This record gives sequence, structure tokens and C-alpha cells, in this order.
Amino acid sequence: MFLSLLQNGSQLPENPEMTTASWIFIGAAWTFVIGLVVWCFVKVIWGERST
Amino acid sequence: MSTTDYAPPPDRERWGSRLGLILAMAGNAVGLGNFLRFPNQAVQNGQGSFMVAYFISLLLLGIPLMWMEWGIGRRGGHFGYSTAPGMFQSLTRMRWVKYIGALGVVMPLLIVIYYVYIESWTLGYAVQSATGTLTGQDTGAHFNNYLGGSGGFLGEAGWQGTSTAYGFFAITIAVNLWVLSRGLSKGIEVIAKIGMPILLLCAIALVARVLTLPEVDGRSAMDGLALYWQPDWQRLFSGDAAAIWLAAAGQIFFTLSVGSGAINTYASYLTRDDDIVLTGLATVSTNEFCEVILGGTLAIPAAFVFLGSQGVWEASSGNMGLAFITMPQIFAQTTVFGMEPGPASVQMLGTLWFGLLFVAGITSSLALSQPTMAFFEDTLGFTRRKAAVIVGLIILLCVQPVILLNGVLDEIDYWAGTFGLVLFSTVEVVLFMWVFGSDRAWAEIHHGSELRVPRIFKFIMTWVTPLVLIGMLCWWGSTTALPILMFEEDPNGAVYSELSRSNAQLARGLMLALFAFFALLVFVASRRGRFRSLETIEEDA
Repeated sequence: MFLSLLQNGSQLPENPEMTTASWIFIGAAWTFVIGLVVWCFVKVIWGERST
Repeated sequence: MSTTDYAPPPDRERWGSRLGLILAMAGNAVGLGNFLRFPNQAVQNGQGSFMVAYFISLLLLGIPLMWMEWGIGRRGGHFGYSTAPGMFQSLTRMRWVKYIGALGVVMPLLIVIYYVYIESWTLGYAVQSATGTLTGQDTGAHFNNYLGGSGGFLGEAGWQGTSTAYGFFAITIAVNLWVLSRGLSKGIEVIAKIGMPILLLCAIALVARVLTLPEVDGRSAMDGLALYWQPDWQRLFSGDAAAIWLAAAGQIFFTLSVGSGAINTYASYLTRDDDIVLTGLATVSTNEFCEVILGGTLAIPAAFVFLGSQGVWEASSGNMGLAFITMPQIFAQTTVFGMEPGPASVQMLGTLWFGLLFVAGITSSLALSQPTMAFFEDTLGFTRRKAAVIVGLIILLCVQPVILLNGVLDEIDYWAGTFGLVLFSTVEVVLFMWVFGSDRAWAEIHHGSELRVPRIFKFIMTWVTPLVLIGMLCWWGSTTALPILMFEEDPNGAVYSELSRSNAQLARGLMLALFAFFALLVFVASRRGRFRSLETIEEDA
């Protein structure tokens, strides 16, 4: 139901560039995701070994 | 009053290992949506602002719903139920909820009916890439020929079916059913243990190639990432903010596979004391790694380097064009290990890309098929092999309109794969947090847990998640429901042609017929005493 709601011609910038804000955003997001994966699997493996 | 003293059936299937469970659950979540739908949605629905809404939706909707589904599933499994009718019935004294629970069997079945067909395209393209049949030239015509025209096999121009597409579909459904008939630990878990590492390796190899692509006309892959990693806070509160939020929330539902009933069924094979908080979070984080980092760094940045912003916009406007038309074109222009671009690069990169999509697809289609399998096994007492045959026959019968008629796939995708996920999630969260009770639900989730969920999530699960879901349904009801229900507009807002309207009517009739069929089976099973209400469970305890 939520698809294609905004598809009225290209909204993309012609010449996109990574700005400081982009680097901070992608850095924070990737750190969050990778950090969560590593933390979860370390906890899982640690838990398996201790039981 | 304890409800934990009840002993589950001793012959119940169980997961072989915790790693197998995590990989199977992650395989359920990691699917075509991670590599195709996510980048398309991000580009088409607000780019940087979509990403902000996406992460907020993950925290407020995705992760809470995932924990709730694991909790409902494990609890249901403890009482011998693998599917939503029995699980819902064990949460309340209201005897009619098991019929709503039939949605948790019908919706994954409806999704898998068209999902397996798309999955078969990826298998066909992987084989064609490996054998050098896919050249990267005129890929639009190749895709059209593969599908027998753009309007289904039986389009306005008459019969245009191809044995290739049908043949690969037959192979795909046969592989799915063979794995399902082998059972949980010997079938699904083995495929997840083999498939997920292969998927990760293929995706990482492709991401490495995309990020090291040389600039074309001054465009680099990193610039392509900037298309949707430029945060835009203002648009989150602008006129089109509702659409951006809803697109982001819709993607979270789709990618985590919440609201389909599949997580509940997989979680039902846990033992009572197994942890679900940490294990569930591990599967979500694996899915997000595959989506945000791998899926987000593949198709769009590669398309941007070779096609520019306008090309990305056009390629991402259709869900399948990017994967099956644009990517082979890109592979034909890409050097690999110093080899000149051309058939060899299409062969190597195409095999990786479509192989990756096939593995992502099959681990998801197995999960989506399992609720129906489990329903026949647990509720109606069928053997596993008999259940696999019945599920296969239902899929084979119902997929015919999807293959033959234009628009049927889109219609089922809209009602089962998009609207249905939100509807079923709303029912689940209201039943679990409001009817069963937030205190009991919170205790249920934490039983045997290796991790304490921060207390704020109890408030989020009790109030924020259900109210956001109800708000989404109300927003849909007040803005777009009527023209779609009256067949005035299709789910994309376009006007139906005469032919597509009749196809849509057929699709909706098929969905209603399947729901009625499974509701009837629930009734039959209920008459045989297969469902025990919360009242009975508490009396027994």
C-alpha cells in the first residue's frame, strides 16, 4: 500500500557528493549495524561456551 | 497461575543448534527485499529522509514486533502449536480469534505463491549467466522474452508463454518442496547453514567490486552512496512526510518478515527455556547488515556510476528492472580481474549476483512455506511428506493466474505482502500486549533470556507500536482504501484497464477463497478439539 507514493519524476540530484553530513550519517549507521552484529554474535558465542 | 507446567508433545520438531536457528531466521528475513526492494524504496521515497525514517521505524516497530512474534511463537510451540490459529487461541479466552489466526497461515502462503515464481527467475538468470546465454546486450528484450512478454503468458496479444520460465519455476518449486519434506533440522537448517555463508561471500565480493569501480564521466560509487545517505530532516516534516514514513515502515515489515506468521512458526520450534531476546536481536542485526550495508552498496551505486542520477531513478522505478535489466548491462561494462568488459564479466558477475538472489530467495520461501506445512502437520495430523505434497499442489494451482495473467502478482503482493503484514502485526500486538497483558507478555519474552530488554521497550511495545500500526491502518483507510477497494485505482494509483480490472477481481477472489478454505479447516480442527483456549490451559495448569 505504501509503494510508489512519491514517484512523480526524478527527485535525485544530478551531481550528488558525499558531504560531511553524509559521512557522519553513513558512519553512524554502519557503526550501529556492524557493532550490533558483532556484539550479538560475541554474546551468543560467549553464552554457548559458558553453558 | 502458571501456564508453564504443560508438557509439549514429545515428538515435536526442534532446531538442531542455536547457530542453525539464527541462520534460518536470518535466512527468512534476508531475501530479495534486501537487495532489490530496499535500494529501490530508498531512492524512490525520500532518499536521506527515508533512511532516517527507516532507522526510527526499525527501533519503534521492527525490533519490538520481532520480539513479540518470537514470544508468541515460542509460547505457542510450548502448547504444541506451530501456527497462528492455535497460538492466538492460547493467548485469550475469546474463541473466535483462531479464525483471525488463519491469516497467519494464508498470508505467507499467498506471498510464497508469487515469491517462488520471482525466485525462479533468479535461478534461471543465474544458470543463463553461468552458461554464457546472458550477454548483457539488449537486456530489456531478454527479460521480456524470458517472461513471455510484459503482460503475463496470456496477455492481450494471446499466448506468449515460454518453456524456459516455466521450466525454472518447476525446478524451483521442486527444490523448495524437497527441502521442506526433509524437515526442520535436516532440511531448512542445513540449507540455511550452507546458503547464508554463500550469500554473504557473494554479496561481499560484489560490494568490493562496486566500491572499486573506476569513475565514469566523473561519477564514482561513493557519489552513488550520497544519493541516499544525505540526511534530510526537513522532508520528514514536510507535505510528503507521511508517504516517506509509511514507505520506511513498510520496508521494515517486509525486510524483517514480521507480520507474515513465518517468525512465529520458526520460533515455535524452540524449547521453553531457550533465549529469544538475544537470538532474535542477532537475526535482526544480521538482516540489517545484509540490507543496509550490503544491499545498499550494490545496485544503486553501481547503476549511478554507469547511468547517472536519471538512470538510477528510471531503473529503480520498477522493482525488477534494476535486477534483471540494469545490472546485466552494468556487468557487461565492468572489468573483472583485469579482463576486458563483455561476456566474461557478465558470466562471472551475473552468476554471483543472480546466485546471491536465488539463495536469498530460497531461504525466505522455505520460511514462508513452513506455516502452511506446520498447519497441515500439527493441526490436521498430516505426515510431513503428505503436507509437502498438499502445499505443493496448492502453490502449483494458485500460481497459474500469477504466471498467466498480468497484474495478479501485483495485486497479491499488495494485499498479502504489504497491507496484510501491517494488518496481521496489528492483530498480534493488540492480542499480545493488550489482551494477554503487557506484564505477562513482558515476562514471556524474558523467560530464559540472556539479555534484559531496556525498560523503555515495554512502553514502546505497549503503546507506541500498536498505536502507530493502528494509525497506519486509519491513514490508509481514510486516504487510499476506497478507490482501491472499489477497483477504481490499482495499488500504484493508476486506473485499471478493463482486462487488468478483471484480473484483479480474480486475484482478490482467489485470496478470499484461500482464506475461507483455511478458516474452514480451522473450524474442522476446532471440532476435533485441536485448539485449547487460555481458559483451558489455565485450568489444566
